[in-house]
Amino acid sequence: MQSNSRVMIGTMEAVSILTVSRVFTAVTFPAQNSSINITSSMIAFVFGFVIDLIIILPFLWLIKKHSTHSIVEFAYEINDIFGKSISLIFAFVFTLLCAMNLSSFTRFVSKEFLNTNAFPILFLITLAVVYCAFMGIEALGRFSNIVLLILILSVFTVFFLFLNDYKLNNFYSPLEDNILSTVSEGFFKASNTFEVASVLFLAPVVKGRKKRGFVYFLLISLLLIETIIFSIGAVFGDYANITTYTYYNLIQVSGISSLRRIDSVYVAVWVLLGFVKSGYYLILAENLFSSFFKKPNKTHTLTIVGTITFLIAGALLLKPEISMSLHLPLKIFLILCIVVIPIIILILLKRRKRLET
Amino acid sequence: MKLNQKPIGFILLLIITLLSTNIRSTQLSDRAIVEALGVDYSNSLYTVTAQVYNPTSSETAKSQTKILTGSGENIKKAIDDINRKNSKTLYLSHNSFIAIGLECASFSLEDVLNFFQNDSQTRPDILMVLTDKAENLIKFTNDENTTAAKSVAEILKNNAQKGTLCDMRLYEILRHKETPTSDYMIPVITNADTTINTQGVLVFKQNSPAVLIDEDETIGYNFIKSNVKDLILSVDDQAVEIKNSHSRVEAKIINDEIEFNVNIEIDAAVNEGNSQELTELLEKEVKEKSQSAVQTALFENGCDIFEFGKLLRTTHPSFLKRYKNWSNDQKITVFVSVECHIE
Repeated sequence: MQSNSRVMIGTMEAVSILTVSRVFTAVTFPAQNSSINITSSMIAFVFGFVIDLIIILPFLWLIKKHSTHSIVEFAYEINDIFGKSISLIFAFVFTLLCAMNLSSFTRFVSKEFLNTNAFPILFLITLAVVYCAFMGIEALGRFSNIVLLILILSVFTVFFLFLNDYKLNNFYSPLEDNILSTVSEGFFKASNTFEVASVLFLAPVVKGRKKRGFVYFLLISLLLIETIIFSIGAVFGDYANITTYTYYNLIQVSGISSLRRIDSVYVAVWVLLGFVKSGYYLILAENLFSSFFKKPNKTHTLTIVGTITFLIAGALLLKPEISMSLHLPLKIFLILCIVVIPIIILILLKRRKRLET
Repeated sequence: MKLNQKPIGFILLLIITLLSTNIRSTQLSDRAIVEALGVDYSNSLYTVTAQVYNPTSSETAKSQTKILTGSGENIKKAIDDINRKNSKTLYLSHNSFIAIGLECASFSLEDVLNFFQNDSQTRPDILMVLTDKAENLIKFTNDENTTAAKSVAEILKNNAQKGTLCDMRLYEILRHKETPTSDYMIPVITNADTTINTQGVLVFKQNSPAVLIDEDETIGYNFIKSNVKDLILSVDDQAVEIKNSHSRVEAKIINDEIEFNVNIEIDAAVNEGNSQELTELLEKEVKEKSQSAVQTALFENGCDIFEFGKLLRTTHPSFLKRYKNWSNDQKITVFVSVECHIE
């Protein structure tokens, strides 16, 4: 995030934003299209957690001395072209991520619920998300704290609702799968977290202990995701492989005595998660676009970014296969960026320092 | 330049209001709320029969419902036919069960299951039953004017709780279907003029009907799966109430031969005449029923409805990796032991 609009948020707020955004993906598509069984998938998430911890190390090293710098500011220190390139690329990446999120969000609401034309819904959701971005990162952070609390409550409520229905036979041995498949799935899970890449831009506006916050974010996400996957696996078993919105389907069959049909409550929670995630990406995109202007105007920039997001999301709604094909390249690109860009900056800064002395 | 936020807010509000009318919606009066649905297949046509809620001032349950029928090349077209003929849109979220005609089940059960699995309105926990002709079951009413939706759901619930039937829900059938080592089953019920009778459960192997498990064998199956509760069994002309049952299955591999040990524990009660002999007779009865279920389903028809293969896969993964088609290639033994505690 750029210094011209620096509003600081606490570690807790940052943890909430990142966790809520991360778990949204898991709630929507928990363990789908996985070539390994559900037990191996749960192990792969732990691998993903370790990989996430490792890949962020170069950036943590980079911000050791300049904790108020984002990756863009470090890039500007090298030279203007490098700084502008990083800003432009990531501005588009975050716009694209926001659009992908909005399109999948709209598809679910329009098909599963309203069975209606998706575009008016997309427009309304985009408007809400633009408003959220207009309120800024501080407001989003405070809102995310509440959403995270609701999320934790709902995930564990669902977990306890099914206590009598768990069938541990559904968890096949991880030895069935090749260890390499499990590790590569771990890489897939790790790269699935675009939120880790976003830390490169969010870190400078976070007050307090950033490293500890990052670990908390990964740990809480891991706990929630593992709980979700355990509930799904223990109840649905192999049926989980053929459903699209598995967690939603699980909640549809949940309930004890009069506490039934709580899927509408789930959708409300899910809308909150999607809202936070989309708002967060839009704030990052708006911030990066603003860095190109000497006197940025938030309303103008957000109107432009919001329009671009709406158009891309609309295109992705019409051609969902584009979204599917974009996922893998984006993941590889982001995981490379998280590692490579801080290392390049570290090397260049060190070289410059050596030349100066 | 700072924009005046008041007109922007007004314009946004206007857009939201206008767009909300653009979202297509179906009025409640245009919906037909389905309470029970039947699917039949004959002469290359699917016939869908729906019992829908039809509110009237009358107090009898029958007059509060209406039967709608439509047909088409597939289930979707049959439902569309009903919608078109009645100028109403069927709403399936409150449906209590789906009845499938036996002919339809023999011909295209997989298509039926796939349709309802992909249908966003059908809940995954919907009850599934088989019957001779689904249309007749949906049109059923008994002497007290109770409709099919209520009668069937009640019969399934009561029998499944006792253990004389299995109430299979859509996601449970699909779970069994998707497990490579398991086979699935669906309860069969028939209706006469004013009564509904249970016939046992029909076991499917690779989506084709394999064998009908009768009521005694279904009880045996339910003892193995720990599903028996509040069942009255007649043992030596004496009524014994099975209060609860719990089973534990162990899988063993001895010299490449598979052995399953099923240990069933039962808590029962009798009014009078509790004796060691009665306990032994009850143990014998439960053992016979369970062995009979295993014999008919697994040994005679190669259908693993007990999820023994799944247990083997969990406990001996390397063994099952070697033998993909476990039930056909190896020697399998199933030992059933029963322990009763009669109060």
